Amino acid sequence: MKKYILYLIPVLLFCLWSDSSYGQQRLQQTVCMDCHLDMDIPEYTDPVHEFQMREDDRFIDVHARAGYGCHDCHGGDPHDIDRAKDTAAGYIGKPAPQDIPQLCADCHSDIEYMRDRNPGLPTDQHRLYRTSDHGRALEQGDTKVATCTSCHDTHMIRRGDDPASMTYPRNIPSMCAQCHSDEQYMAEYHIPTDQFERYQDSEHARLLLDEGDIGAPSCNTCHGNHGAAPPRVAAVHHVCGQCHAQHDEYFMESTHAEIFDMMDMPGCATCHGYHDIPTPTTERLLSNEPDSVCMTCHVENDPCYNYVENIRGMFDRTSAKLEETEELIKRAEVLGMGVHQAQFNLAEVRDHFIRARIRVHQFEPGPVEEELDEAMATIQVAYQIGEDAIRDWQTRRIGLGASLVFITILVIALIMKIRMRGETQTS
Amino acid sequence: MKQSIYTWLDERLHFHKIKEVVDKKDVPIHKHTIWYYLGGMTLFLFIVQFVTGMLLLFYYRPSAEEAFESVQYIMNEVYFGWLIRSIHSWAANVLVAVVVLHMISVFFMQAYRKPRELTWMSGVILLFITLGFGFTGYLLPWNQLAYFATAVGTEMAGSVPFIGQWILEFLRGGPDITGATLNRFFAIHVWILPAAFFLFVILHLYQVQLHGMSIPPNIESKGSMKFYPDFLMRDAVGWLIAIGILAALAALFPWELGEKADPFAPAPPGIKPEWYFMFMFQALKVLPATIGPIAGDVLGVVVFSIGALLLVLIPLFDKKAEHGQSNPTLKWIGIIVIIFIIAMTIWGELD
Repeated sequence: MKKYILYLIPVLLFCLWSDSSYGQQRLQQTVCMDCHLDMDIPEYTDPVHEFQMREDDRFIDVHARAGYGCHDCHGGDPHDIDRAKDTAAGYIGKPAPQDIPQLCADCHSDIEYMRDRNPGLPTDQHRLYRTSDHGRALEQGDTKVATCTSCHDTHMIRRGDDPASMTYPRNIPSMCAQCHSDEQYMAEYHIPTDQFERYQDSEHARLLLDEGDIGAPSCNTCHGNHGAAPPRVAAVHHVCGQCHAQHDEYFMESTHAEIFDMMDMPGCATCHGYHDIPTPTTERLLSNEPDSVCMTCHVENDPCYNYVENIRGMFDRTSAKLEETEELIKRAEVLGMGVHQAQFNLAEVRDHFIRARIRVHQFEPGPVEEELDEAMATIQVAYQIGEDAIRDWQTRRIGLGASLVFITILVIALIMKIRMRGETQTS
Repeated sequence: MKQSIYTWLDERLHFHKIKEVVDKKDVPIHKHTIWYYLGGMTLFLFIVQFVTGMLLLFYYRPSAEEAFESVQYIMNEVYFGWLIRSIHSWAANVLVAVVVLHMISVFFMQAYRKPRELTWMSGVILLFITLGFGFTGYLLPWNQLAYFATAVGTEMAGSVPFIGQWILEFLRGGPDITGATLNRFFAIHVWILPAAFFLFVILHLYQVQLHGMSIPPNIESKGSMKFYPDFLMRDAVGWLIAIGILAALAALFPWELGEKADPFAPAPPGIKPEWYFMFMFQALKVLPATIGPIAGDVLGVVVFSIGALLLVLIPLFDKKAEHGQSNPTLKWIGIIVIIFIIAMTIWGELD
């Protein structure tokens, strides 16, 4: 028995050893860190501190967490102080900006290498980067443009789904703005620097930054991640169509697509704008007012003017009836009446509304009216349910009143009977 | 004809013997007679619960997939379903209050003294059964509030030392609240608790019949009245008023159904148990995490369990009551406990 227990000891020790993270072992054993930490010069110590930084008892940096060390990027022998900076041992020191994409790509573009380590990550980042405005400028010797470390950090690279990461969807606009909103830094490129400011006023920013909807678009959604470049005029609808697929399909089948193409006007952006895309309301986008989007091109009393007049009227009438019905249903609900069917109907009406607004992009009579007619018919059903519920509530009160009168009469009769027997029955 | 039917039945069922017993039964009259009516009121409300409960069973379907929808159907589609369900829910709450008041009145009148010890003990057990009805019935509509309140409630049971985890998993039918929990709560609510209730209520009523109403020590009786019809008529006045109040509550404040339980949704804010469990919930909440070497909530549950046991056993250690003397110490303990329960309940509701 004792013998078996002795066998167990090395197994136990192995388990204890293997329980501590592999990355931690590597970090503690490299000579790079020993020297850098001894130097007491921020330029040398900061990268080590950052690389070693932990959160919830885990390394923040994804590479440190995976067990990589300084030498995996910077080369050299991490275990021999004499060969730590030996170029024969592959030491490259601090890579120059123009070398960074290739350095990262050595691993990240190696399909077989990445398949074994992080098969979920794409391997085309470097290829895409080289097609981007950033990548092209870098190849031409412009070292001010963004490289991998500009967006992903250097020694404290967080996972993209970490809310503290610069590449987390909600942080992307402010990250891009670090360079793109810096007038001095961008001066030589002659491109606007107000994109972030304008984006903050948009419906997209409201959803992403205010409501925390990380599915809402940030800079990279439209401009691309690694292959970042502004879309060309003819491609704008493809960009918007990534999310607004049905709008794009209807628009491309409409007369507007052909006309916009002839006039070299961008598909969606002509009416909706870009960067500061406002909330699409019927007041702004379906209106014959002189300052409305439609009247930028159309004139009074042309066929489209009358069409807009008609469907805008339908939208307003249906919205008003919907609002009235919602109030009625709410009132019935507050009174404690069951109006679930009506609430279900109203949800259906909202779906019709959404579809009607999408079908506006067909720019032809018929489809929108069809959706709004169905919406109005469903509202009528919900309204009827609401009215019935209120009537039922009133009937209940009358029934309650009648039963209370009956109960009161019975109580009075009983009390009278008790009084009549009263004294005679006590002894 | 009527007489011949009665005679035929009487020859077989001996109605005259029941009538003899009822005719003999008297109720003492004194300044505390009014508290006697609480017993009849409790029984009446139980009957309301059984009748409305049986009606609800015609439509209720006890499964996680259908329970909420079936209650929704009862509330919206079934003729007078809203009234039946609302009365069932309101009466449950009124019933707990009346049972507690009935127990308090019996406690202060020391009606548990010899030879009525078993009447008291069966009565306290009936109170626990009533609370069990409330706890299990609360989950049955399978709505969000009930789901999370039951999670909190069963967790409290899980704090019982040694067997807590077992109790928790027994109640839940597993580590979490699922359809299995609903199934067993339903079984407990409509079968096990009613069976236990009938057993103890028969014992309770038999004892009341055997020993009659207790006159509190040092109280002078002013005579007595016939149970039938005098006391029963007065009882009926109370019952009619109760029916009126329940109907008004059901019509003016129909019992809400809320949203269907979603185990994956975050717990809605302000999850609280039913008001009659609030004092325990609040007390456990305000207890420090540890008291000496023991976890605060474990100690709390142990104290409440001992308290419940002592409540059942009061007649055995109140020796003064046995000799017809008042017991000021016990009276003051009772007052302090009541103040504690009321204070904790108010604190919990306002918190």
